[in-house]
Amino acid sequence: MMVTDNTEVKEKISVVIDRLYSNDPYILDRLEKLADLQVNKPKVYQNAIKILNAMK
Amino acid sequence: MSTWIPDNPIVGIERILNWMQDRKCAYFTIYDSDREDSDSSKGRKKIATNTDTTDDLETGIRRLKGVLNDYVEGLTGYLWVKPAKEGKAGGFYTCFKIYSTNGVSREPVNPIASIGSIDDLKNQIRSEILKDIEHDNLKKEVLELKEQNKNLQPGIMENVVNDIWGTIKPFAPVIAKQMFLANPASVISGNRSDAKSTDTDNHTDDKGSNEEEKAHKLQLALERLYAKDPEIVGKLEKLADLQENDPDTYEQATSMLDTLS
Repeated sequence: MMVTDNTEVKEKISVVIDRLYSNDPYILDRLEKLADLQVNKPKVYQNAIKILNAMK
Repeated sequence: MSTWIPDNPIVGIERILNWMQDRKCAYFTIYDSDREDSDSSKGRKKIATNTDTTDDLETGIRRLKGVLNDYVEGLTGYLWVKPAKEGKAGGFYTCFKIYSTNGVSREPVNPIASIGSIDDLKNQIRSEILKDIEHDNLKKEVLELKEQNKNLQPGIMENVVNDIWGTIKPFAPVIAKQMFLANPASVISGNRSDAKSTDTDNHTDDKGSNEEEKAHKLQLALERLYAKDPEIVGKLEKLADLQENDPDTYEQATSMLDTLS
């Protein structure tokens, strides 16, 4: 799959990674896992999304 | 000198004190039993209290700290706390089982029966999070806890929540570690350099030295995520907001993510 060439999206992704990483050193592992799940286990990935959606 | 600590160490005495502070619970009583026998000769014995005082919140908590920090090792107690109400104590509504120790930790034994309504329980454990998660064992254990607590009197569900976190602890090692650390704020709220040193402490040196490369790989991974699910960035922004504004909920969310495989 092609990565995005949208500069704005790249910037938003970079910012959100930076924000999350500044307080959570484990977030890189977690987000890598999320990316793997999306590719390899779509159903489990959907469960992860449900968790994120359930957050107030 | 010994000190009282909760029977369930996940609670942590500091968490109890913070909990009291948040709810303006200035009054406490420690009994030697959880029985409410009307016959005083058979009933519970009052070990310490400040309900006969007019302590304000600060004074009440300071007095409780003094009591908790100086007791004979080996005693078991039941700490009931309640808020100040117009200068007088209101109704007791929360109990923590505690025991005195010389500081040597032990595994939780017989966590106290939890009190509160099933609705409180549902709210506290973010049942919405658990609802759709495909983890049968976890769901079963949470449902059992709900069942065990359904007939108990209304009140605060702190103990229930902590019991549940105790149950899911094997699935959330990072969260459990943070709870057990003497100064969880150093982990939860550390800056980037703190975070890196923590990471280095817990991972191999090789892994620690590859953070930048990892972040780059992650950037690419997230861009791929975005290509398939454009809403993911918004969700992660929400997660970042949560991390900044509600660290407890953030911990819950990430611990649940950690259970997925």
